[in-house]
Amino acid sequence: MKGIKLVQNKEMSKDRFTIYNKPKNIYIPLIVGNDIDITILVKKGDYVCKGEVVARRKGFLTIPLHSSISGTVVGFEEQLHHSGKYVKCIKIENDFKERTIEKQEEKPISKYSKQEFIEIIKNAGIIGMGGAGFPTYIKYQTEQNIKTLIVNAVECEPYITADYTIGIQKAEEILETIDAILEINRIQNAVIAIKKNNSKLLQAFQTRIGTYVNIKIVEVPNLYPIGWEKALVQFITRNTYDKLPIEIGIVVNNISTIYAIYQALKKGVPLTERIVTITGEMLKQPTNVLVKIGTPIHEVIEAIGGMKRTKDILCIAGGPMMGITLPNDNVIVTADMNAIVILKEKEDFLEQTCMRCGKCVEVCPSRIEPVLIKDSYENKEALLKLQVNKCVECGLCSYICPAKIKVREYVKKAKETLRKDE
Amino acid sequence: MKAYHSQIGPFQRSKNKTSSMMFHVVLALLPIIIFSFYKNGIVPYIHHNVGIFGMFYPLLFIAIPPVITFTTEWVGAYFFLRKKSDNLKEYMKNSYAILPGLFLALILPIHTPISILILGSIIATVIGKLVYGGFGNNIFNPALVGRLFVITAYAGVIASHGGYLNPYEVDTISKATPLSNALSIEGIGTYEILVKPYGSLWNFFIGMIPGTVGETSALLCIVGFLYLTWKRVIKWRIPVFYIGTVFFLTTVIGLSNGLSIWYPIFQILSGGLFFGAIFMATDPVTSPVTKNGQIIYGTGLGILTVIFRYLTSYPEGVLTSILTMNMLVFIVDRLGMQCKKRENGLITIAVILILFGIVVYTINTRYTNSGETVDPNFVLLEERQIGNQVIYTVSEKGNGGPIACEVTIRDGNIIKLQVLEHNETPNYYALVEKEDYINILMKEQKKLPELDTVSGATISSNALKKLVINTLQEYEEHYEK
Repeated sequence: MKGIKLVQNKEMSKDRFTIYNKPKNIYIPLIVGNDIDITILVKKGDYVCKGEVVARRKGFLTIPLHSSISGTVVGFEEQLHHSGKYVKCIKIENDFKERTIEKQEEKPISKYSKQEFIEIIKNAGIIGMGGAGFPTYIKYQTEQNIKTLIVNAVECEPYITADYTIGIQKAEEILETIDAILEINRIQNAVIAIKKNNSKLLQAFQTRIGTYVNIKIVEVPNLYPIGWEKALVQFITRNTYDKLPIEIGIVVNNISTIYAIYQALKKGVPLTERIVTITGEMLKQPTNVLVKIGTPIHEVIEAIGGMKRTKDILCIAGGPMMGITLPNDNVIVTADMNAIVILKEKEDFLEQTCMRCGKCVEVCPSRIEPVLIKDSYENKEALLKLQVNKCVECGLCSYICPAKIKVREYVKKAKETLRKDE
Repeated sequence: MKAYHSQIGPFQRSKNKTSSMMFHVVLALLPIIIFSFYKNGIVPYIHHNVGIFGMFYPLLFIAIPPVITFTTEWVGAYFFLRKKSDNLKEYMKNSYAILPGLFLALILPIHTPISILILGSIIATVIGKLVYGGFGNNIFNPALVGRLFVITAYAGVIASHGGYLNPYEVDTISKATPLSNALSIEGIGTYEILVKPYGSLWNFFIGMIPGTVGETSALLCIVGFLYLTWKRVIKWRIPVFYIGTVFFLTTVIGLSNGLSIWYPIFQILSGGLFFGAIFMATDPVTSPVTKNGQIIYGTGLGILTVIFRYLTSYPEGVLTSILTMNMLVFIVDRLGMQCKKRENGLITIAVILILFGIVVYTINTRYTNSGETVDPNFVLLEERQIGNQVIYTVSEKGNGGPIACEVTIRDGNIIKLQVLEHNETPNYYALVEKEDYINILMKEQKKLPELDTVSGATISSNALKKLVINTLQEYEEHYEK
């Protein structure tokens, strides 16, 4: 397995957990993944219950968006999304009554047909919570025979412990859900991938796995970016695919997504909350927080003790490797946002001349040549041969570069060049 | 709302720095510099060949070029690259201008006059680096450009100052570098001829053999290689495949000529192969970035070096091979990318194996088993018999083209040897004349194979020697039976 052992910095938020469920207003961003083609189903003045559908993504990848509180729609506002863009949101004022549409009954979660299962996770608005934001039901809605379900609990980005937290807290429920998914979809077996240095999480599953004969725990090395779908599938199955893991009969779900599926199957509850890691050395008390989707993060940061200082800091959405800086901390929680990291602002590195040491080629998990892409990032013809689109933007090329060149940015620009006039 | 600054990730970076990588390279060279001081300074001092100044001369020799390359780059950057004050300082900080000078000192013989050393350093910086736009843009290894210039333009001068031999080595060895010795003998050689004059293979390994200032010690080069690989500074595949290829090919050549394992070991330990492979071929700027490309590059270097050593009149070949492969880096990287596909990789391996076959076959047809050579450069132009005398007009390839001679033989003895025409470099040929080599050849005509060539004019004198040997052979075949 290719990868790099990174300084983890996970200790500061590990095993720290709190709940923040009292936002005054929530803002449901009208965006799924990168797609903003979304139909609004409410208007100003409407009263919505918790779990009520307020918008729906159009097209082939259709998925509903739910209100995470009960209250009144007071308008539409642009708010900061974790992609760094300002996105139109539905603003709902909280009446703090937590009213739901109907009283949900608990059901045995494996008593569904495959079609019912797909309907349920679709209506629950479940999307990949590891960061891709891809609707989960699409992965199961396939003619192809699924051989293995891989549950991704690797969380290889430094600082982030959201998946770890849910794994520790809900190991029992997660195992139950995996078993149900296997039965409903007639999948032979499941693999839970956990980093081998994460002994507590390993233990949480190992002590409970006894009766689940079809579920296996696989320890993966402490390398970045082994949590990336393709790398993980390759590590576990020794097999690779072109675009989607289903090509070789594999479905990969994030561990947080599995818990969301549990809630949908067991209680009929849609995806309206998630654990976000709020961490970094510039926070007074880094911690994991269970928050409602639509909550502005700065409220949560205040609630957990605030920052050490508000000057000369970087506010990063996501981990330090793949995350981006935000202009402020008034960012809205979405289902696919797993962390906010507040770091000390250091002087940016000066880029020096590339001496062609080849370290970026050596380290690239996609087996492409970042330095050669950088050389001709505006030359479409040359780029076509360099398989630029294989890049997953993991950032290791920039990480490793001794000349401190932001190699990944050139690769991103190269992707842009290829996208142009297509 | 508070506004935070934006930066571009990743926000976690490795500790790698270009400057520390360069520092590690200098550190890896340090034992080699110290050894060079020992071999070229302390040992001659102990042998009373040099005085106290002579003892420290190697250190001065190694210190001058870096100073010159640094100064040249500074001036050059100011005028050619038009860097101004702050910009200039930043540029100099990141251009590692002393390294080409340091390398240049280590790949030249200690007898290179200081003036030529300085000129070579300037050429290395200007032609090797600045004309391409400075650090990171050059195609050729700057130090090798400097060396190529010095060796082609001033070989005669260096030779007349003592060539590759140290004073104490002249006493004991009286031959040039192991490989020019190997080239001067007939056939492929034996342990007695190739290794014995220099002691043993152990001397080759530790570096107590004639050669340039820093290239002789394979041991210290290996230490440097291990250090730099551990620190992840150099592209380790290049030296491994380079040396491996030379070893493999010379093993096959050796075995097919009845020579055992000492022969390939002699070959890889000679001619500064370890130094070139480990320090020069891995220069990051002028070597491939793709992993497969580095393998192909190393293998290509190996093949070229073997070709240069056996099939041309240039005995060393390492540095020439590197300069040649420098030109092909772009293509090699392309090939390296293609080789990620399994079938392309297999095709490349097949092509390399075929090349191996061709090279070994060509070399083996030239050097036959018995040690006798069918010399393709020897031409019999005319043969006249007058009484009991046979007068041959023959030619043999020298450095600048054929050397034509008239050889008169009576009763199997050469009674007259006259050079009719030659095109040799005057500097070299002057050395041949100075030693009265023509008369030596006539005097020693019964034991020619053991006869030394003229130090510093190896190719010219060797051509004359071969010419005489071949003519005598021709006479024997037709008149003695």
